[in-house]
Amino acid sequence: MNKLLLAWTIVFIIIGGGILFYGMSFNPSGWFQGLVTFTEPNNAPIPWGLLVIGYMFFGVIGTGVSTYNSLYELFNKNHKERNPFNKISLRNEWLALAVLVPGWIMVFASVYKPGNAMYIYLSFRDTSRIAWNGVLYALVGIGIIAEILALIGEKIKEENNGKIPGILKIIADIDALIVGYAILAELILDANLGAVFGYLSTWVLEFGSFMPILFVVLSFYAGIAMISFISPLYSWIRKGVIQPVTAQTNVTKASESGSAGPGSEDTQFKILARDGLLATIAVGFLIFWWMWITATNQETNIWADLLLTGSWASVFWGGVVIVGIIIPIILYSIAYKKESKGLLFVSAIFALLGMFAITTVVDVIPQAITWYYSVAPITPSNSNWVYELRSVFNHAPLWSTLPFGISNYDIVWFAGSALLLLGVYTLGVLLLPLEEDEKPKHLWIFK
Amino acid sequence: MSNSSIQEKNQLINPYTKFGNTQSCEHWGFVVRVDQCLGCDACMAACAIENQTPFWENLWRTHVEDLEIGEYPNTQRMFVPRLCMQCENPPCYYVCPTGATQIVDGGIVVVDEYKCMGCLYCVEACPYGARYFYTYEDIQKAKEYFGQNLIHVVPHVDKCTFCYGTAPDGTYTPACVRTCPGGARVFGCLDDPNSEVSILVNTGQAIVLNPQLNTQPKVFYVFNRQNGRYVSGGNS
Repeated sequence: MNKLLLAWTIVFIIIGGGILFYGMSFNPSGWFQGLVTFTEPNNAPIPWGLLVIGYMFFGVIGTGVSTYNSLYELFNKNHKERNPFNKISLRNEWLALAVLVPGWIMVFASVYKPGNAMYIYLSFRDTSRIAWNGVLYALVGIGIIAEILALIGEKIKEENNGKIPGILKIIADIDALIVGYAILAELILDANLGAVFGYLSTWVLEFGSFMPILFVVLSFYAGIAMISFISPLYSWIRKGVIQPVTAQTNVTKASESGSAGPGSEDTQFKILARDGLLATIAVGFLIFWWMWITATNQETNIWADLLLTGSWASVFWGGVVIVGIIIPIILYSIAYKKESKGLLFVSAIFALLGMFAITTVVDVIPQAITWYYSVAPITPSNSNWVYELRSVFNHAPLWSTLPFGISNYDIVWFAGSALLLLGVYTLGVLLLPLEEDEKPKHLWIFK
Repeated sequence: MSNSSIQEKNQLINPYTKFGNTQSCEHWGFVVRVDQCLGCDACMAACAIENQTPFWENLWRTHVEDLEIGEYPNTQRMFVPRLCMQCENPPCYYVCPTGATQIVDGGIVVVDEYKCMGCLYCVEACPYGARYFYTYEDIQKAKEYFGQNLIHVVPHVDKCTFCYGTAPDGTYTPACVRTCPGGARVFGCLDDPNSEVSILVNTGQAIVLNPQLNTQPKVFYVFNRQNGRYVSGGNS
């Protein structure tokens, strides 16, 4: 067992877990009931803050990693040699699960009484998109875990000439079904996450159908970026720290001699650059379309103004357009052309930052304009009597942008969850046979 | 889901709060006679005491908007009382993931504070800004003002319930209606054609806020207008 990775895992689990424990005011049971003082401020003008952005960010990335990986797996089911990600398929699924962990934590942390989330399941309301989020998050988690078990089961099958123990046999036998189920659950979860933002009071209903499309495409954009970020990083670490010479050296040699196969790292990185480029172009088009319809609709053009020229213009132009779309398109293109692992890695960093900027504006913008009311019929015939009721109810100023604040509570839970992710990911790397050359030896699934 | 099936599903009495009206009505309604509102804010004070709302945070179940309309020199001042619209088709009900938001007898939308998890989706979805969160800190603060006789005992989203069942004399009249010195607030049964609310609604002068959203509010506004202009202090 690699000592550096072990130390890394322990440190991040302790630091991340410790911060989360602090976030509970050292009182987990009180926190679950909403009975701690260290909680979100009630007078925040924008109710859904960093934690909602956080669970969308990590949730969509996690599902995206799994969906992207699973699609290659499913469509190359009978020709695994054609799957460029066959060798890292299991690691990608673990990555998806690890990335979902902070998403799940922030889902709970973003509500005042996490313990009462049980009522989502005990008195399920089918008209609520958040209720569906609760169900779909669970279904996606089950799907990814089942997929990991199926892939480990296949390893055991190969190792033991078709012999495979207990329940793993059942799971491995229906692996295609499991992969299909996981893809479906993930796509529905992404769409549902987007749909949450189509039902806000300040957001016209048409966004209820637009946002799911954006979120499904974002899951590919962000999922590919996450794999493109982790895979080169892991490759460098593995090459430099874990196994100085083995597969990597062989791949390099093969690549140099022009005989890189479909599953080689170079091929993987080239395909990631190509798919990342396509996904970024798709996101760019949808963002353009979002602005187009928002700016040309009299009901919504104030939100477009806010993004294009208003107080959120720097985040939109700088974070979404330049960092999230233009730079990744350029870098992914060069990375594809030059087959550069380093540029793919840098592209992925920009795309992930862009993903954070996009989820931020998707969350904040619908909430950023205060409510206003119109009395209808506002103009009786032959009358000049026209006015609007504009609410100053509950801290909402007139026609202005509501300020977006990040509370200490939000920072603590976001930081704790993100740091925990680093430990959870390497914990899986240490315990599970995620690499091609690693085999399960203990308790069926541990190496 | 149709309104009737929602009603059937939710003919519930919240066991945790002291609901128990003595009159029965399928559709309680509320009319605000805007021209008779003085802007004295007595309704806000009465509501805050009756329902222990966190006035220390400037959060209210009902409040009065002080508006200036028109342009100089033709300006007018206008007070518009605001409260939960008790929609027949309430967005807050549809989005609530835990079933904490319920529609009880009389079509009144209430929150079961023991089921609310505080996700604030209802706060986001309400097009009238009628909801806010009652925090643990607010409960502690309420103890300072109201002693141990607390209405709210766990954190939850709070809103106007037309004082459902809280009238101390056993009758079912909201505190703001009982307190209003100008008679600007009228409460009654919309199913009864002889009730004052029905008569006011049937004048054809009554309007609702944001009707285009199809929320079907049960709070109506009556303005006194002459020659197309709002007339302050007149009779409806």
